[in-house]
Amino acid sequence: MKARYQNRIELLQGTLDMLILQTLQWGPQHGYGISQAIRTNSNETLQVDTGSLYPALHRLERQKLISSDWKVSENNQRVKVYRLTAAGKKHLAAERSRWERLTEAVEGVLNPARKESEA
Amino acid sequence: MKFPPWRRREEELEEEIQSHLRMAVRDRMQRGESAEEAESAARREFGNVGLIKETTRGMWGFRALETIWQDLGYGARMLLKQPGFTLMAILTLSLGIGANTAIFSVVNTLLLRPPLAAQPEQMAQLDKLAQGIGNHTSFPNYRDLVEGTQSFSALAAFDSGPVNLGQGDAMRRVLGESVTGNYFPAFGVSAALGRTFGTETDHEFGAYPVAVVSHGAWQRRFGADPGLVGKPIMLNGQQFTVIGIMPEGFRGAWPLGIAPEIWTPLTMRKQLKPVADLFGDRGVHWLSVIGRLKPGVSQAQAQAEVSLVTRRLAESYPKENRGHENAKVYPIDKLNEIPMRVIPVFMGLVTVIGGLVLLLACANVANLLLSRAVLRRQEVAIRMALGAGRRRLIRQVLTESLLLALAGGAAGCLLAVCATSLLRLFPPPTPVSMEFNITLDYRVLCFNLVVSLLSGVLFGLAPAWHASKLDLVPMLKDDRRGAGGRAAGFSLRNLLVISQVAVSLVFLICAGLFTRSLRQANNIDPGFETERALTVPLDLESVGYDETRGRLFYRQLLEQVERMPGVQSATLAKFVLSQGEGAGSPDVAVEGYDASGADYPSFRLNVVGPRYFETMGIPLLAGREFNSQDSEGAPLVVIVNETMARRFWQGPQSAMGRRIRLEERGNVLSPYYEVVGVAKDSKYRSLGEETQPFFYVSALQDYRQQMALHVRTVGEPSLLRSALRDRAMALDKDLIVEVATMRENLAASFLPARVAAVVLGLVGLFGLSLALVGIYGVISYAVSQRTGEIGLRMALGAESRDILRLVIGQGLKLTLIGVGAGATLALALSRLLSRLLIGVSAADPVTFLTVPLLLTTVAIFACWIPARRATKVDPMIALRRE
Repeated sequence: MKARYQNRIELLQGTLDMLILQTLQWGPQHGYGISQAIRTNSNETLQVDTGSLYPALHRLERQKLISSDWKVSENNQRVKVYRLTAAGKKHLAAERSRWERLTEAVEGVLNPARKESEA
Repeated sequence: MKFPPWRRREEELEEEIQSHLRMAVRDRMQRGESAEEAESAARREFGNVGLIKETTRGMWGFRALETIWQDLGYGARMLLKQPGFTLMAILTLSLGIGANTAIFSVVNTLLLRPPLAAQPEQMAQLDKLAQGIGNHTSFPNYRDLVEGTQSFSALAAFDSGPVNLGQGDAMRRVLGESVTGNYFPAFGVSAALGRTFGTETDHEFGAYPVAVVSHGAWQRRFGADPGLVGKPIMLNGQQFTVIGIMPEGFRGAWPLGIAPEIWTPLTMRKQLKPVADLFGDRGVHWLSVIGRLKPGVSQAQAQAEVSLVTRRLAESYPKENRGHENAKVYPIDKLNEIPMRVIPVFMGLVTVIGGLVLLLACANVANLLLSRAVLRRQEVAIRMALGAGRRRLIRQVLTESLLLALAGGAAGCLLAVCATSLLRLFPPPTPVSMEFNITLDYRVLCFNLVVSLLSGVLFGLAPAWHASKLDLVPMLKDDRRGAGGRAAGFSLRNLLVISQVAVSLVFLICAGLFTRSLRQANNIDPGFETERALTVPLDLESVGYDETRGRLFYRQLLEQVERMPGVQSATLAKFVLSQGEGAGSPDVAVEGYDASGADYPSFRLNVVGPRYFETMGIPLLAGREFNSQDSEGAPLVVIVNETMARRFWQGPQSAMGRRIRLEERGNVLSPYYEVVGVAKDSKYRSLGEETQPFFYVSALQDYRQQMALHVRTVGEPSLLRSALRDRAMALDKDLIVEVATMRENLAASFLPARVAAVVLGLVGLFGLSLALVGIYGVISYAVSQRTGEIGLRMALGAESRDILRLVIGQGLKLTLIGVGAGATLALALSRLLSRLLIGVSAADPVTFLTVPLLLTTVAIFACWIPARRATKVDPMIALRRE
């Protein structure tokens, strides 16, 4: 059972990690806020599975790419807020350039002749 | 800080998730959903909280720790569930580990603890200064060493030896040291109370009658008197003033817990021991030398410098300083003298015995765990069926073993504390004072921990291996005989129990023999009177007498002592009977018997003065005692014992007038000795010895520097003790005079047997208790295996009497095999002890019958407990299980 979950995380891992880091680039945010931000910014296309989000957050924290703090929110609630670390910023930059090269390459493979997509 | 560390993180995770849900609900409600709708939708959207928590937890990296924590908790619960088993295992282990911890703490104290000094690594001792034993040099040499070397910030000399502390009946013989003024500065240790003396004492002889007292002496001899500093004390009859008390643990340069009790200035040595002027004589080597290296000076540099000086000394004074050029510089804690090196070997031996005891204990606990593992097979099978990996199971079993081992180790630590404090309360009687200041320091604790963990792994391996080899299906079907292949393991355990019984029987029989021998010793006829007798060993060599002066001293002493009121008779003899001493064993050429041409037989002898036989109460069967006419120049005379008279002549009467010659060394035969008397046989070296040929020569014809004054008193001998000492010391106050009654001498001669009986008895009882636990374990296992069979027998009409007989019979079989093997082994081994046994044969039938009988009885009791449990088997339940 455990193994299956790990597979799923791995499937999403690189991309989800990048999306989380990118979201935190705009400022510290709590887990719920991150999932909402990704959802909104992707025009509701990307639904972040909490089952992947929290393990990813805790893993990134352990890798010291993000750090966390307990803050009191505007509704007087204690919330755990994550922020990007210097190492996280560097990691995000690397991931972004890798991602751009990947999408370019995939695009090139999918549409070898035309430069314009049908949409 | 919460414990375990992941507890806090789990609470935080829960809070994080809850806040996530709350925010989701709030957002949904703001979008117009009802509270219930929002709540359930948010939860649905979030997913399986438990699962998400579990996955997230996996990211923390605590997984391994958490598993261990669970194993520990589970193990502790399992151990607490079976308190009887746990207690038994911990007890066994604590004995094994405790014994080893105690042994190690003694080793630690005696061998591993460096002498108390500031920066002990800068301390050095000079060795092999002179040829022969000891690391001594003369005073002029020492002066030259001090002047010729630059490597030492202090080079101190000292002389160790017994001194008489106190006066009258309170006088004690203690180890004292005469030291140069830079002795204490060399160690860099100052007094705990008062002060030490310094180099001012070196300038003038006899001007500083001051003494520094050891902490141990302060406590033992002066009742920890806080006002001791400034008080006068008597040392060898001279008054000294105590100026300081050293801190606990200071013992000069002595290794092995040997602790001098008194330090006096070297310049006071003439007052303490006024013999010859040792200070001016380059050829008399009596000083030990230690030094403190100057900062930055290596031992090799010091060695080079010392070698230069000693080589020069050897060249300039070849006669006085033979072998001086080989002087060596050693660290202070190196053991140099050969008798000292024996002790590490002895301690090594004790350590090996301790290790064997621990191995036995481990084997026993493994045995216990195995029989318990059988009972737990079902539980283990269920855990495996639920998905626990074999590795996890093994880890679980090992964790339990380690828990047991640590508990046993802790209990063992307590035992070791008790054992060592007992040793402190009852220190072994040693010729010089020793400080058994045995404490549990970090080294002992580390040792204890390591031994505990090692034994935990050791005895945990068998059950862990067992746990990993389970066959699931028959287990779950509750087939108690399932998972076959146990036969081999079972017979191994039988073998273990048999050998435990055998080994403990050997120990117990030996202990029994010693105990019997101690009781017999009181009934032995030593052949001489043991009551109303006093002995005083005298050493004229230590006061530097020559033969003329010595003969005069002996004569004066005897004359004065014989005139003392309460004295019946007095005499001198080379050695006191039954103390293991002797006066040599020359080859004896008996006139008329040496024709055979073979080597002469050698017999022991004693050198005795006039009235010896009267004083000792040894009857003469023929002839006369030695008298004052049997002196130098007179015809040589000898008195033989009855056995010798019968061996060479027909008996006492016909031995009279016969002649023998002695061959001491170099094949030179002495002139003829004529037999003038035949004495009744007695015990000579020990009470346990066989009757043997023995002879006496006259002390007036064979001068010896060491003789013992023997006195027969009219009344209670101990009343004459101090008068006798005063009389001897009036003749020469430098003589060390120790008066002992014959009864005390005999008691001292029993000490080895007494110690052996106690130690062997303790080890034997420990082995026995292990064996009993082993028997109990094996029989319990057998009963649990045979529940069905027993049920069947009962269903067919067997009475509980029959069942008892059945089960106990099985245990009895094991015990009897062990007893047989043990008795055979003991018979072979006890012969080695026969020299220590008094009045008991090495194959003493009483011991060899009672000890096995007792052991078997106790073993039957050990079987009886599981046997009774077997009779409680309900046939219906047992049969249904089949």
